[in-house]
Amino acid sequence: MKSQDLHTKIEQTLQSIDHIERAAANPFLLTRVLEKMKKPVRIILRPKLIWQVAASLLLVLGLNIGIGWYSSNKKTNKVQSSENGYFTNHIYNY
Amino acid sequence: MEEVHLIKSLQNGDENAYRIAIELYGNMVYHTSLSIIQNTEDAQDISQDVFVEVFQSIGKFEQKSSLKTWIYRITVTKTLDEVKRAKSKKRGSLFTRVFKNKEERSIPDIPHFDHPGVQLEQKETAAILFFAIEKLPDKQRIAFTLHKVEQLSYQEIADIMKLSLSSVESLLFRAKKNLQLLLETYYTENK
Repeated sequence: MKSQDLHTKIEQTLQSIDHIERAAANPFLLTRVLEKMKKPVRIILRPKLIWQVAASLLLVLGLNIGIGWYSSNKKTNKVQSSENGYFTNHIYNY
Repeated sequence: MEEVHLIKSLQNGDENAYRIAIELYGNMVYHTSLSIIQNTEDAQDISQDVFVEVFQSIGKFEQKSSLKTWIYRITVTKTLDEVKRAKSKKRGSLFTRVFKNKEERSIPDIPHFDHPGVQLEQKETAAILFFAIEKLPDKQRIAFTLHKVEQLSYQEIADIMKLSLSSVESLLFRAKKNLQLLLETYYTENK
């Protein structure tokens, strides 16, 4: 019986908004909208956005350093190997 | 004014067309937004943002759906964005709440929303229902609100949410089941 009461109560609650009337918008909605449209667009900096930008900048910076380090290492190796070549040539080409 | 002419006038930036559009769809936008976000000030702000977007993006409107459906879609998207923003703000404030006195802490989690369109004798039960609706997953919440509050057909909801008819049916079925469970818990705990 108790569960039947509960069931009825739930059904009544679910039907409580069946005949809901439409709420009316602000009568000055048009004025407000036109005011908003005239305002210049503002960029809102949200914490999430700031973190995303910071992470992207760090990634780009990291990649730059990495590429720079990699290419300078490559150059040093090239110089060393060409120097080795010079000595080898010099030693054996007489 | 016919819809085609209204769209054309809106695209030309005709202020009279803006007025007509707000007369036609202003209450619809506000009522939908209010029923989802359950806060009058937020719903008013969202309504303004919706119409700003409608008037500024009307040039991009491809008329694949009706103007009404398109405006509903913008309303739902904007309201959901605000719901998400409010949720993340609430989560953030959980941390600061720890350091506040008991008196300073926010309002307890109880039915609080008094929808202006609900009949007087239904106010109390409707507040409990809105309290339960607030706890539904976003898609179920939107589908249920559009169906119950805006009294839209399944097809109209499918068009607004860009879903198939069967998806809407299943969303509404799950929403009702979840609401029954939520209400059962609520009434058992608050005898």
